Amino acid sequence: MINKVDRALLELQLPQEDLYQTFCRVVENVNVSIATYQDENAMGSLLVSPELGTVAFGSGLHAWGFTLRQFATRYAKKFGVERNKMMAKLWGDNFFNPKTKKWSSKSSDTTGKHSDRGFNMFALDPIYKIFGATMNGRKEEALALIDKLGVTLTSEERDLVDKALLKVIMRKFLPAAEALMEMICIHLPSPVKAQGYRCGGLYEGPQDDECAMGIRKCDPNAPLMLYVSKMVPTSDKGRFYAFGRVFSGTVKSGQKVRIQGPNYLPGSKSDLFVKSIQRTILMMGRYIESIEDCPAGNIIGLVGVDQYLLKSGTLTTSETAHNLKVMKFSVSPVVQIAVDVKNQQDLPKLVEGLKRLSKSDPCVLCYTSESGEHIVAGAGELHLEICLKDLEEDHAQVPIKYADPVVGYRETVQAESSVAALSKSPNKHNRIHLSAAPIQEELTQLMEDGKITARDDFKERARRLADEFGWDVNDARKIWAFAPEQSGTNLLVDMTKGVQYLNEIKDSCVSGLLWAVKEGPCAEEPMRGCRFNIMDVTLHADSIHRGAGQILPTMRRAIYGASLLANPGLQEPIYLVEIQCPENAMGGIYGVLTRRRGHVFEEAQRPGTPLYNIKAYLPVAESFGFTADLRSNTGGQAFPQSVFDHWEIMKGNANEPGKVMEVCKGIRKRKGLVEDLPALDRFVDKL
Amino acid sequence: MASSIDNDGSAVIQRQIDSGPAQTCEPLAVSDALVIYEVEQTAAVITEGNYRRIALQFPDHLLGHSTVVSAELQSRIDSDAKVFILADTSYGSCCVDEVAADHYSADLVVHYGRTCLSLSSRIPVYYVFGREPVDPDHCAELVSEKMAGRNLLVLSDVPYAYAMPDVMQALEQQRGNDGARVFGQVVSSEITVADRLYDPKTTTNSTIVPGRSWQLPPNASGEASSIADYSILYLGAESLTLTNIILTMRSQGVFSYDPATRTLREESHKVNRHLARRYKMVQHARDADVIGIVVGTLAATRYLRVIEALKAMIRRAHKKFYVFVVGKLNVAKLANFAEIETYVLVACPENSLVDSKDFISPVVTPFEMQLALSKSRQWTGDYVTDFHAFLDDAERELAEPDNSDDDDNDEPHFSLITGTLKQNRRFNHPRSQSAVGADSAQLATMNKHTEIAQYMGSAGAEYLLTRSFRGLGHDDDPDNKSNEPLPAVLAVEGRSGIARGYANEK
Repeated sequence: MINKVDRALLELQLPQEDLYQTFCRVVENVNVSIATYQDENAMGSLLVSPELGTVAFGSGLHAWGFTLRQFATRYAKKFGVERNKMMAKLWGDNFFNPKTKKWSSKSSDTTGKHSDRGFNMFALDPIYKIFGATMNGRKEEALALIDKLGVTLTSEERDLVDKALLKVIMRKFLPAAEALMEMICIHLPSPVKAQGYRCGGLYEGPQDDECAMGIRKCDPNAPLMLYVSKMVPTSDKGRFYAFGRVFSGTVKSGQKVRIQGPNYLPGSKSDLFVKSIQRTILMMGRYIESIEDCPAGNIIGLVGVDQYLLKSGTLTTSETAHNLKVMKFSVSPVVQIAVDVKNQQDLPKLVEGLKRLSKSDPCVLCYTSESGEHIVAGAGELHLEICLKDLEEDHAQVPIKYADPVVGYRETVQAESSVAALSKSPNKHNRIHLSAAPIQEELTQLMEDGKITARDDFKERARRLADEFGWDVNDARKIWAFAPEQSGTNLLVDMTKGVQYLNEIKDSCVSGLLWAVKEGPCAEEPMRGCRFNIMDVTLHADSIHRGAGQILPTMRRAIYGASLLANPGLQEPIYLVEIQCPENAMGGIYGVLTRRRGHVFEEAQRPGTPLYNIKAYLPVAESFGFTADLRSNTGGQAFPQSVFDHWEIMKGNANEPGKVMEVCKGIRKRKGLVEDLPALDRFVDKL
Repeated sequence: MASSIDNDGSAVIQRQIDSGPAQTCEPLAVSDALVIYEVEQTAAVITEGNYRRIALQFPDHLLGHSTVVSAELQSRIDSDAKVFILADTSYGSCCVDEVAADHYSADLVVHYGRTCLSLSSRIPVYYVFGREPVDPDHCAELVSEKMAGRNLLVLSDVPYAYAMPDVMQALEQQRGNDGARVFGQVVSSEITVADRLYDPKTTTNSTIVPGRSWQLPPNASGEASSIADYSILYLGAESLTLTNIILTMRSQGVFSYDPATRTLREESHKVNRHLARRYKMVQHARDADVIGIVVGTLAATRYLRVIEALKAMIRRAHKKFYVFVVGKLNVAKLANFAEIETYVLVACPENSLVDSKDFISPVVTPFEMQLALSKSRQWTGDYVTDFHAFLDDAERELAEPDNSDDDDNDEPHFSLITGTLKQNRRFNHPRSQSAVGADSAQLATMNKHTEIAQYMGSAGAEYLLTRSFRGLGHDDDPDNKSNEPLPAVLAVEGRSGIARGYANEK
């Protein structure tokens, strides 16, 4: 649906033909985007076109909208033409000559007489007339017009003037809901059809088991497969409806189901509960209605499973079912704020509040930091502000104090360790030689996106690393671990030759790695994009003296030592900011961005408008108060939209005086640590 | 490169032990020893009690003085009474090492230096605190500047205990000079060192920290006043005792006067930060399924009952526990048990607050464990490090019927550590026990030859299954191409002796 048409009419006052051209361009742009992502085989052509009725025009604010189908139906009777033919005439280069009552493909007929475009004449014209009449105070004319169009108003509504009247008329004339509903009914594929091709993208398990078959056929008699996508708060405080969609089988009240959380692994018992559904309900906006059962293909609310799910999960009756794929949100929580209660005895309430908050908002993350602060992490300053308001007023209902929002950084290394770090175990009998090296940003991103993970086949992964990223195949085969998780971005690589008992300490080394990368050496922020190579290991001949207790702390020290020897640095999160503004506001925008270390990388005029689109990168750390600053510097003409884009390395080393070191010290101070960075000799021993 | 693994031990002999400042021990003149170590008084006590075997316990950094003191002491008592020096306490030097003293069947222990004043249960103890200089007038001056108008409770670190009367007098004088009511009530604490057993009937108004007692006078309206009406003045440098006082006493504020640096500062602002950090520990403990109980004292009264109470509590929560005795705690010792998710340290009040940042799993106090496991107890901001208060609560709760066996019990809780829901594993649960064998999740393939092993809810075995190296031929050998299963290796007897030189190496 092309929205905000009311602005085109009221503010920009575009002539009909210009508006048509604008619409054309918008549709074209959308189609370009669709073409980039669409998969023709699975879903057929997805390109939209007004003459097919797949595009609606309207105004969300005024709640009106229309598709060509509606107009075509209206005129089909009048002209006695078939509706589909009429629809085709209402878009593109089809001109109607009112004199001859003939359609042609040229804008002027043989006599040189001008004829109007079908779209303008039949779709836009009535709307323009209503707008013109109501907004210019010609109320009588407007009322006459609507009578002709068959719209009836109550007597109170007739008393309205200007915009209010316009809204009422348009809403009655072309209700947006009707247009949208029509499009949904006609153009969206039914679940039966859609799940046939969506199954591959929905189900994590093998595509030929009973659940996958059930999903593909949308079979109400197959095992139940239900994805809970959202938790909706109920009027009962602290309880939630689990809101989701039935993909296969039938869900009933009182049915016993397996509730599989996002970390469930088939065959294991982790993140798995077997519970009964208390009630199934139909959710209709504000109202709910209890229903007996609900077959595949429908959207449903469930009562009584909320305490077993945090944000989303899979419900099934099949013991062998895998999970349905978890929905990914493109925002990541990069801005954090520390919250605390005003009175210590309210702490359990705050914890309960944090739990509810993380349930009700899919993008928020609540946890406790090492120093005991309770951290709420969100996508941005504004998002956090709303979260905290909800937390204080609804979820926890205790007075809460906040610190200033802060940004989460990542620690990394910027070069290969100058020498391999050597750490000795507490009993001095074991030594680990370790070096650190950075991993290319492209590879790090692949790992973050889960394209290269610990679960891959190691041979294929090694081949890929060797071919695409220039790794030595032998090294690439000996990746011991990904950290901090399976899709982590730090690697431990075994590069030793012929060390006895090495297998035995592998687990201890991996635990040491996991422990170390959670909190890097410089600012105790998580590490990202580091590769640790075990160069050599000397072990005691007796297994008791190379136990976990000796190896684990040593590994951690070696990792810290190696990182400090490899130009340790910080990565900061960067927003991609899109700003729309008129030309005269650009100077102000550039000023604000430069002051905040941002830079513009794209600037384009939006065709057909005086507005410019600016794309810029802006460090999240500098984004606090950015919107307000921008507004005051551009007279409120610029509208920014920020979204987390990538991590960017900050120039400089963390262990040399400079900006990065200052940032590290700031973080350490906030965390209640010793301000100075730890010295190398804490981690590295002499031979 | 002669590695330390196979040398003849000469390296150890020649190695310079780097001693920190705390370990330096200047030679002591006999006259000083008599004053600082209260040799005369000690001798008097010994003669009076007619003790025969006397153990002297020195902290490590004072061991250098031990010979002088013991010689002087021996010369002042009966010749058939014998004096021993106990070296190397296995836990903290603040506690009396009763077990070591028992080895020599000592009938009196003389404890020197800092102490946590935990009550001991078996052997009478005579404490010698030593004396550090303090300037009462300077202290009183500073106090009257900063703490005017408050009710004062004065506590002291043990080396300054002798000076308490002087300080009290100086404070009274300050008050007298101004004529005005500079302070409210000033109450002094006494350090009661007695070999009496702990008496739970003692009213809360008089004893809170074991070994320190005070009597708060009734307030103006005649009601019994509480510690909340008082500010605490602590005499001494920053120490575990001070941390303990800050955490446990809900007073108007805590100030410390350090006689060595002659400064007075407010300590109260640290409280919230400290409590927040401890609360994080409670959260950790709540997430843990496998808990290690570490015995960190063998002296404090009722430590055995504390351990029993903890066991009962953990069992009731259907978690798994192991008991460890490791001597002095360090990172390497605890890291050997990677399957343990949280340790509870049972130790004297001052030693149990371990900053476990360097430990791979957090170390909590019994009280924190109770908060984590109990359904009825909630975090209120009050904090208990003392065994007795903990035990009273724990035993009361355990006496209540266990009604946790209903179905909702396996409801997951929201873990603030990870920000997700945490489902607890349940060990030793009657229902899950009977269901063994019925569930495929409890079977594990031992190796690629699809041998199947069943495990019976043992946390250790479960952990072993997640390891890549398991030993005893359970590992998949990539070089072994044949389909023949490797024969499982039988356990054989290993070497015996200590690592320096095993029995078979001699």
